[in-house]
Amino acid sequence: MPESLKVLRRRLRSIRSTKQITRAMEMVSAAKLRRVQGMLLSARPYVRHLETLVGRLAEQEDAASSPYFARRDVKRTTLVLYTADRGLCGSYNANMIRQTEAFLRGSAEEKVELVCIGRRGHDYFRRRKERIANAFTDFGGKPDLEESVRVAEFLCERFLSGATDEVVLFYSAFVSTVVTKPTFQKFLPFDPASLSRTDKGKDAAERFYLYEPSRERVYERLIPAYLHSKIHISVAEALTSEHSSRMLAMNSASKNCDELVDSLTLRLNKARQGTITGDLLDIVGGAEALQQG
Amino acid sequence: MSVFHLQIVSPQRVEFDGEVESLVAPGEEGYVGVLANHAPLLTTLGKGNLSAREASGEEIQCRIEGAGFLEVYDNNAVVLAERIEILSAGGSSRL
Repeated sequence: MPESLKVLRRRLRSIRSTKQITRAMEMVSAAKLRRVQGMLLSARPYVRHLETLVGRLAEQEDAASSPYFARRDVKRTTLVLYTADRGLCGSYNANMIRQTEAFLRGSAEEKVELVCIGRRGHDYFRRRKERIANAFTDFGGKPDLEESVRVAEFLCERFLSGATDEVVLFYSAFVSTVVTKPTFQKFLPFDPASLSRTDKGKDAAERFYLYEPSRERVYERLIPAYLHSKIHISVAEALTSEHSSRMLAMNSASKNCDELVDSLTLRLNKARQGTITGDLLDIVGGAEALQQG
Repeated sequence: MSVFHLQIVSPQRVEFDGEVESLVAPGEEGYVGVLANHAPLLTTLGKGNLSAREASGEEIQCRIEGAGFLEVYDNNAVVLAERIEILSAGGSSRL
């Protein structure tokens, strides 16, 4: 029984229009990817400079007295989860959520609270009644310093007030367009060893600065600024990863559409040929019947 | 007049990277002037206008807002601020 031509034509049409949509989304993501990637790259020098300055503070013997360095027994961990606001980006969200769940299972019950950046993770864990301390869903697909500052301030406030003993960021680091790497990163307390220092050893100890207005004041402001920039860059990393995942997902969706269109076209042609052959047979048969009669 | 290296960096981009003769930055408790061979200095910046002069006589002017810092070490000055608005870009060494 040949497939109905009508049904095949309808399917073909719907797949073609799906392909137009995925193609368009791919282009949009590619454009967004370029933009946020640019933002990510241009934010790096700022963070690197701050990191060097903070790294020098960490070398001072009285650094440990800063409340940001305070190491406490970890009774509560805050996990900051970065996901996208929307879906259709391949395994990006699913991957982040799956690893977060593994993290939650791996630690004592009620110990971990979540701070969600991005709607997807928030919706998911809210449904599962996990402990959510806060959610930030206003980034809207681009890194925004003001919003990052709000996030950083919330986290610092929580840490300094003792509501949490440890803050860990979990975001997808952008390695290249095809490789993104989900990364856990300790945010607070401050771990001097985690700072990548460019001027280790040699001249660092010899740097005696004039501090204006005072050393305490400088560092009091330096550390928050550094933490702000840290959130800012992790948001940029996560968004860049998101857009690249979406671009790849849409690219393979478009490719799948192409394959489907090819195979459906073949089937459609066969079916059409089948009906034509059938019709011809009928006509020839009819003509022969007439001649004989 | 001798020159020193100045970088002005915001989270958005490197706003300026080049040699300048002098720098006046809005320190938290008053303006700070920097010339070549300045002693190592680390200071917080307040809201205000920053200006620097290149050897060619061109002026770089920008407005600093939000948390800001100035580090001077070994004839390298780095200005970091969360919000920087360039008012006048100076000569060719602007990125």
